[in-house]
Amino acid sequence: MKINFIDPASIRDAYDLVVVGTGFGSLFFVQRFLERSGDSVRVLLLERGGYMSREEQLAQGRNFAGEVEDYIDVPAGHKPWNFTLGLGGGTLCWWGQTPRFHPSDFEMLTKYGVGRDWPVSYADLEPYYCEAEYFMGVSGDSVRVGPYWRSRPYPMPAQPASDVDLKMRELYPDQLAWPNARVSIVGGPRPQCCAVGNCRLCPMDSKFTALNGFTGLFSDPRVNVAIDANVHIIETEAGVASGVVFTSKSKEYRVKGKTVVLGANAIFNPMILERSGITHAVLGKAIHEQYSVSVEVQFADLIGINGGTSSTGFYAGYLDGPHRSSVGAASLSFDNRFKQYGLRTDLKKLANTVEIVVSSENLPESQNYVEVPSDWKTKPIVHHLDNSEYAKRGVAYALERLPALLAPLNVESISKPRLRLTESHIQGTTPMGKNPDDSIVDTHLAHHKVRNLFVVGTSVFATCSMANPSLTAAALSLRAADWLTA
Amino acid sequence: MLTRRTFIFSSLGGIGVLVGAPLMGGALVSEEYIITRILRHYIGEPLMVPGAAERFAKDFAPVMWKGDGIKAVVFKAFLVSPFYFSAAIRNRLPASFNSSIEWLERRVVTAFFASSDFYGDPRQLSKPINYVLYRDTPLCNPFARVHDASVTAASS
Repeated sequence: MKINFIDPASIRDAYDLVVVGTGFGSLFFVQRFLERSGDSVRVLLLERGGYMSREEQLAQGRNFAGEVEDYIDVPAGHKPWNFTLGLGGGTLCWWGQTPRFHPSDFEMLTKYGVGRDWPVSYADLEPYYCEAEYFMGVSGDSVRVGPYWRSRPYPMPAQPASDVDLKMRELYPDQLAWPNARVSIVGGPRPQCCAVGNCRLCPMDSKFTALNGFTGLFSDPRVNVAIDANVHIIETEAGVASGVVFTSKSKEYRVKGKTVVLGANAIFNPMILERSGITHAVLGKAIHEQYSVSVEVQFADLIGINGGTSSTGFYAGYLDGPHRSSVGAASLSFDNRFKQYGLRTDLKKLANTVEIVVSSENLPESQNYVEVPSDWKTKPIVHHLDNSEYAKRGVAYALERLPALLAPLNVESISKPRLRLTESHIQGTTPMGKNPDDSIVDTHLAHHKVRNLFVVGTSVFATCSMANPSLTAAALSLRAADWLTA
Repeated sequence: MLTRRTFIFSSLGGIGVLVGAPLMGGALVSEEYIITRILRHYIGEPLMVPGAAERFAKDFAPVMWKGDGIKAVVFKAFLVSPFYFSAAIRNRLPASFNSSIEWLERRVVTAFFASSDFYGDPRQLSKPINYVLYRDTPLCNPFARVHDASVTAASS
């Protein structure tokens, strides 16, 4: 794989675009920027982590060489977080789930009086959702789409459902197929998914990652990639971003940029802005992610793990409605893997089991925040003592209804719920919004005050949908880069 | 005549033997023995290629009870005792103990199947299973169904 690496010491000139971070938000932004720009533009990607080839990741059983604890501090008893630092960022470790946000997710305040409204709507994002789905090669059911109306079919059909899923679909119109960036067919853009259920390190390379999906970008002659480049300051002159200061192998470097794109993550984005003096009352506040538990359900005569990928279906019946004014929307994900609970010991019912993950949206709360020590060499501290009561009520709401929902499936047992400590989604801290007084970036992800500074990725999320965030981060970046290059 | 002191010492000794012996046994018995015992109990000899359980047990034993300490000794004592096969006894045990044992059994059975040549139509269980290679993540989902080549992008 060709990557246009550059040694920081040989960076001499200015760039049109200086990009901090190489995850979903950054790479989709750059992809669209390059598509819309001429041969003379220059783009510099600065990645704090290193580069690990797919082969190295598989051999070492990990997506990046460090540990999360090397980069952040979490007070005792607070929620843990999970991320990947390295070329490709979250595209390496994600599981490939690509649900869209529910249309109501964008207008929580208007419809339900909680959270806040986004400055974009589902309709605004829909074409970009499609583009991101086609770019990543997403498999999904284009016929039964539930509330997620779409203008184009999915590029690939959904993977085969499990027996439990098929029965649920027969019973309930709200049972939908999980869309995901894993290949469902023979002859697709990558190898077909093998359903091993180990998607963090996909053994088939079926899952979309930066390393199999952005090869054209990394080898584009207009692009330079610097790894081990720790950006700590965005420089501004008279309210305009002029470049960044970064450290690589203990040496400090400066690089000029006409436009700066900040796409580290929802912990490091506010940290870099704060240290750059680009402060705001809501900066770093309300870090959040979904609240989830899992249960095992055993069936008398239905197999729950014979679908074609790691998560085959989800129940969307609790995702919207008047209850959202006081209870979080929750999904029931039917997971098609047996690593967590194992096969059953009764050989006649070996696979008559399913893990159901109950995930609720959360309310971003200001007591959960990123603390940024003034010394740039000191790690940020991430405070998140508890989830919102709203989210807990959302999970309880779904769990209470689960036995009745599954009753027609001849259920033998439902286990006690197990808390999932993290969903590995870090969101909030630089929210998008129309009002500069309570948000950091506008509808096009441009900073309200520093107009040539774009903040991308999940840190811009205004509220916490139940949906996995990566597809929405990608769609927002495509839309933002379209606006920049229009 | 049995004095009170003799009675107390004898009783304590008896209890010590009753409790201590299985614990000693639990401490001394090998993980490999327990793994094969669980596999034979749930899968049975006719469904396993001769030697497959032993070869799997050898590879799985080092990771079986990583970090469980004294708890492992208690579990092992139970798993090698005759009570292990008695449903009546197991029904009387504390729920948390039972669920820990069940979790362990499922872990052993799952790891064996996931590390074996248990492909094809797993519902049939028609041929003896052979052990291939142990890994800490499954090599496959033997139950998975995937689309054949007749399903294309246009099918979406």
